[in-house]
Amino acid sequence: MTNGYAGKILRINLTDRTTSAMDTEPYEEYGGGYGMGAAVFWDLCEDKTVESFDPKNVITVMTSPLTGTIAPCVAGRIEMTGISPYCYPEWYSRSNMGGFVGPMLKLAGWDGIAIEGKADSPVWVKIIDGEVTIEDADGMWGMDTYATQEEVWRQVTGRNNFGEWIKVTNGDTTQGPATMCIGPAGETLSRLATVSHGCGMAFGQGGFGAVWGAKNLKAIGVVGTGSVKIADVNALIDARNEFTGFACRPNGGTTIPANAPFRASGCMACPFPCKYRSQTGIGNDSICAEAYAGGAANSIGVNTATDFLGMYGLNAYEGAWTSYLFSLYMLGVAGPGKEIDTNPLPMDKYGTTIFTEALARAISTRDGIGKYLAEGDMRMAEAFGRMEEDLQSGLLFKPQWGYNWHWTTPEISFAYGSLFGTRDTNEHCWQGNFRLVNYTITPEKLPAAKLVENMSKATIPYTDDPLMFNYGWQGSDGSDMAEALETGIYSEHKAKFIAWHRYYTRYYKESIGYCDFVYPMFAAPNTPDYSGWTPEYEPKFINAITGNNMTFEDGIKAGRKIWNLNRAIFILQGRHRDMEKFAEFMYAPSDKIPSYITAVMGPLSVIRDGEWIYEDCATMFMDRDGVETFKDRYYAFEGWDVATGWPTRSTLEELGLNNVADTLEAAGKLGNPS
Amino acid sequence: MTEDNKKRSKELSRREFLKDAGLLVGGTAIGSTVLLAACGEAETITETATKTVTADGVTTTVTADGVTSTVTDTTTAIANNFVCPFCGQEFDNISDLKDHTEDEHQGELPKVFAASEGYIVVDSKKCCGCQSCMLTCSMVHEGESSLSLSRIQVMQNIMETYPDDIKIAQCRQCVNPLCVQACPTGACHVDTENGNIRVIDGEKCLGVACQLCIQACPYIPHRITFNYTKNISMKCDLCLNTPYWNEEGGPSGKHACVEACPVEAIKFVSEVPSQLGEAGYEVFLGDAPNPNPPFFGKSV
Repeated sequence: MTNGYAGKILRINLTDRTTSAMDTEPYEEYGGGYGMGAAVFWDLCEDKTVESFDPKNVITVMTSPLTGTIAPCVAGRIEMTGISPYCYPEWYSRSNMGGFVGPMLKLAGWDGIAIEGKADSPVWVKIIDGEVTIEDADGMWGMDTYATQEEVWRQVTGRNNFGEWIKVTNGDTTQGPATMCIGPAGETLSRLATVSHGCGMAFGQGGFGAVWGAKNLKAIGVVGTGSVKIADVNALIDARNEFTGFACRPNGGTTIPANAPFRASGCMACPFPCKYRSQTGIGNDSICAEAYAGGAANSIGVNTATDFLGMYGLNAYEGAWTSYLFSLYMLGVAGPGKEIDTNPLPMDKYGTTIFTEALARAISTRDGIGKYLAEGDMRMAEAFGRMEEDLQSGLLFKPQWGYNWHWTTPEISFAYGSLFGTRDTNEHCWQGNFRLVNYTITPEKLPAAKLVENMSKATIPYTDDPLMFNYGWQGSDGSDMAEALETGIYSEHKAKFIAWHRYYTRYYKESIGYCDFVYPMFAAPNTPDYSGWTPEYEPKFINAITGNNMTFEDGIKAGRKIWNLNRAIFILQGRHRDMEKFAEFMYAPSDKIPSYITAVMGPLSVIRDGEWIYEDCATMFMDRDGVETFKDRYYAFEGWDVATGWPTRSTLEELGLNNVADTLEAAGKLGNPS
Repeated sequence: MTEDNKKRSKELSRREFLKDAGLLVGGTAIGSTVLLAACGEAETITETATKTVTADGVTTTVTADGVTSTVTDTTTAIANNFVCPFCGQEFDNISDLKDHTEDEHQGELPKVFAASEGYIVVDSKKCCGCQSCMLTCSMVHEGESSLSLSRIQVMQNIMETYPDDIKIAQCRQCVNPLCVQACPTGACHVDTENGNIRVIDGEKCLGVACQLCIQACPYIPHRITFNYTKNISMKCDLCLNTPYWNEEGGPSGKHACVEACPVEAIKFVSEVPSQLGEAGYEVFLGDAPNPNPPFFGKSV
């Protein structure tokens, strides 16, 4: 067993209420998190075409070798995968969460959990080091996520707050259990349901809370008194010190209640806490999107709204914003007694906490309009026969797979990454340009040519191709289409970058768990040339902990393997080139891009007449033929069949995925070599 | 066997010996901490020689100049001596010693210790709950990242409201160290050569059979960390003995928890903090960092 790993993965079979351990070692090549989860899912989920609520769906929750150490902004992160009920249509998908569950799980001696089957009545799982028991959750069913966590604490330690040391199994602890659980929304199988931890942390995207609900799994509470073995303590401490010297505190985008004393709070071992906990307790530990939930207009309203979503266990980013419903209301289509009856929601109180509470309650009880909202906006639009029309107009602002528009354009890696994946890819931090703003490096300090040069040095093994970072598009009148195809967003250069980005994020972000919010990948304010931490620091932390001697490129290779394994799962689920199309509104000029995109993202690097400049690309939209040309180039670069988007045998075998190739062949879904 | 392993193996057998010896003493004397402080015969022996006692009573003695002798005896000599903590007089059994201290030293205070030259003070209100201090403490001392092996404890209830959601429990390096007084073997002692820091010498610790230091610590949670793998008590030594760290600790050195804290909520001080209540150790160390630094000088 390698340092950094606990050596065992916990298998929980809810059907017969048994648990067992499997060795981590065969999965170490995938890092942890998503990669390990996908490999475990591949092995344990016998029929990958089942629906998300089927007991045969397998949920994985995986840590990484860095979990539970002082590696900064990674140690607290943990990744969940499985067939997601939120995706439209359903796909194998993922979600990531910070906090303390991952570290506790590792310290308890487990690298991760695989949840299989379905319990015949509500249960929760108690993990105290190596002792795992499946407990009756009859008394917890119906509780909100806050009460559930307090109840788990009480049942594990006999109290629900900290105090004297207590002895558990083979160690002492002053800590309470780290708990992840579902709220009423998960119990009633809302596709917006989260698996929540603390007041504001959650596996939000994907609706995995509903899968837990379908499996009758209420909570998992973990206490760990063990250790993570570290190969080189001094190297780890030194790397952390260097890193905190050049990184910068990010902006959590929180709204702290006025005049309330507070602390900054963060995940395990994070040097840059991005959340807060205030004396009011309102909106504690919430950040970014969830801090703008329910359309609430003032800080107390926002934060109270966040708490309702947290307690009921609802995803703040999808649906719970209710912007789609509100748009329909403003159009006069939806309303009390209208064609789309909004009862029991007080639509005239939209933006208030009264509305948000009614919303959370209606979704969780499936009362009235709540029955439709609980299924997510796409399925609601479908039920009302409005999907096609509203995707065309952009009223239903979901570029792919039913997920909300995010930084989709002009940050083209968001658009493509999401399209070839199964959700809003939500991978921010690699964007040098985004970080320019966040870290207050002005364009004057770091000219576009220099930024592009820095980036093209970092993207090992595809270095020295600055055109990978060209955001040139066809322009609103289409006059720049030739350049966009040759060097811009539809070019072979961009295909190479999108591939690199898929590999990088699959391994370093989602499998190792480097925080997507904090790491200054391509630009940092305190380095001499404003270069970021990539590619030096990613392997540095991993090697200090594992004692291995991996290179940055090894991680990219592992990421490519994970990405192809993902692809194989999607294909077994029915993925084909023909499905990989954006929603209609993406192909037309739009004034729907929120104004904050330009404010926050800033201008992007574009080459004009041989000169790199920063250009405001906020009005970018996609060209239909351009995207199809891009797909030809991208699939070819990946070694996939251009006609179908399916990997070929030689591509899979090159990555050591021979058994995956066999499975695809047996299903008649192996790509033809070109 | 590597050099390190050899050393550990040697240490282990030596400690096992001391434990065997100490069990007799500690086992009979629980409840009388003052007396126990006196039963330090094992310490005296280890300064001049290393002994190993096997289960069948074979005692191997290695003296400082390397001479090895082996004797077989079913009773161990060490256990028969009980030393008065006030005057140094020796007794054959604990009840005689008890009678002696009650008769001769009624009302006297045991030994007065010199104050530590260093203290860790904290600001629990500023703490961000990341527990980096704990993991780092465990790493530099034990080579492993652990919460349960940390000598500083950050306790957190993430469901609570500020400021009751976090409490830092660090060793106070007490002016009157009850843990030191309670220790029957001198394992928990004042290191006079290193700034009078209150430290535990794991080699002399009796482990789970004793734990009198834990009982003696008057704070909740107690500031002794118990290591079940090594079967020893551990406590904050102001990083005096950090075998896995390149930095020097002690009164004039660096301290892992202070270094690791990203928000400067832990500080090393040389002045003796007020011993009354928590005010001396729980101090204001500046405002909490803002989780919302501005973008280009403007808030979003």
